[in-house]
Amino acid sequence: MKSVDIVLVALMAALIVVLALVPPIPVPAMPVPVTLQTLGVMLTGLILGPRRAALAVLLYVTMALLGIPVLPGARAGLAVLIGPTGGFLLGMIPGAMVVGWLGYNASQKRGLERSAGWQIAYGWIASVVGGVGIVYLIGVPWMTWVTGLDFWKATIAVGVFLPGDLVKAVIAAVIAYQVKRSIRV
Amino acid sequence: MITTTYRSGSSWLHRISAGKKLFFLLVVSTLLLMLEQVNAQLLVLLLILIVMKTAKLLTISFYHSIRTFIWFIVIVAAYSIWVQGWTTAIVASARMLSLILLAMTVSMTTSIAALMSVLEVVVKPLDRLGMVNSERIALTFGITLRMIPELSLQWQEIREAQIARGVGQNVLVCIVPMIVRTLKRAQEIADAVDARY
Repeated sequence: MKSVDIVLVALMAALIVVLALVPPIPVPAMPVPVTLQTLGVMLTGLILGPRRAALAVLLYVTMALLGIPVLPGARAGLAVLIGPTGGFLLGMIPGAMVVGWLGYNASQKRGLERSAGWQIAYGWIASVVGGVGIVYLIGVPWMTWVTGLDFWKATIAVGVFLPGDLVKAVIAAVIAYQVKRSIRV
Repeated sequence: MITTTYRSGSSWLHRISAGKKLFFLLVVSTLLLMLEQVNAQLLVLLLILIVMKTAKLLTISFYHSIRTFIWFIVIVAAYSIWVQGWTTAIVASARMLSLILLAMTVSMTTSIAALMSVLEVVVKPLDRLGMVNSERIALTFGITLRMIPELSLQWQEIREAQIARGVGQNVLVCIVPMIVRTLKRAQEIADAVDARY
């Protein structure tokens, strides 16, 4: 990795921290407040690509585990990993990687160069598969393991976050498209 | 100034090495996840509370930081009683509480520097194999920690600028300029890094 890649990894990790610490946005008709942490993870994948994104999120998660208050609500520490939502935190690392793997090159795909709509749709699919699918795939079994709930009941319990996450994937795709139009890294 | 999870002190728990505490946490967590008896789970929980008491960890700031977890456990427990019955619910909540208390105990009694040195021990052999470069890892950590306050400041500036333009309170309009500026800054910092090494 070149120096610029290292700096990009460091800065995107810092950016996820800043986004995660933005106070939760209450959304009408949503039972849970929306934080920008997952948005940060999806954006990191779309903008940095698989390798650098995975490293940036790994750095973010490591800081949280060391006890630096970088998670939403300025939380941190090993308790977060060991608690019921620990899998969602760990899942963000492969999640960001998959988002990058599927979505980083959307604008280079043949036939997609000119179509904003297709590029955004592509980014959305990447964000949903990596930022929602992979994260839940690791998060839900982890939760069943710690809480003793069975798999489907845990899935229903975390289902309240799903609409918000799908909307965040749309926002991530639009933002990544706009960013990549002015700067590519 | 950001407050980390570490609470400085000189209890016997503070004096145990970080590596030992992490290893103990790993072993006990694994055992707790396999333990299914109600009495045993409650006994472990009581033991953990006694240990924390002897190290003077049960303070007001501790209650403050565990509050969000307690709420989560109460909600999960209520849901669990409803769908799976009392016994499973009690075992699961006692286990969750024990796990969280143990992890918090380690976080509260171990400084970030001590945890970092454990990380170093893990990274060293990988460095010798040429898989990672520990100097570069340290550099990345350093840049991130240095840039968090810088980027928060940049976020505030962009928000104020957007509010002044009349786009209102929506935070989403700030993210594009935020990222573009950050990516441009990355190039400048990389040039500075290259100039030094």
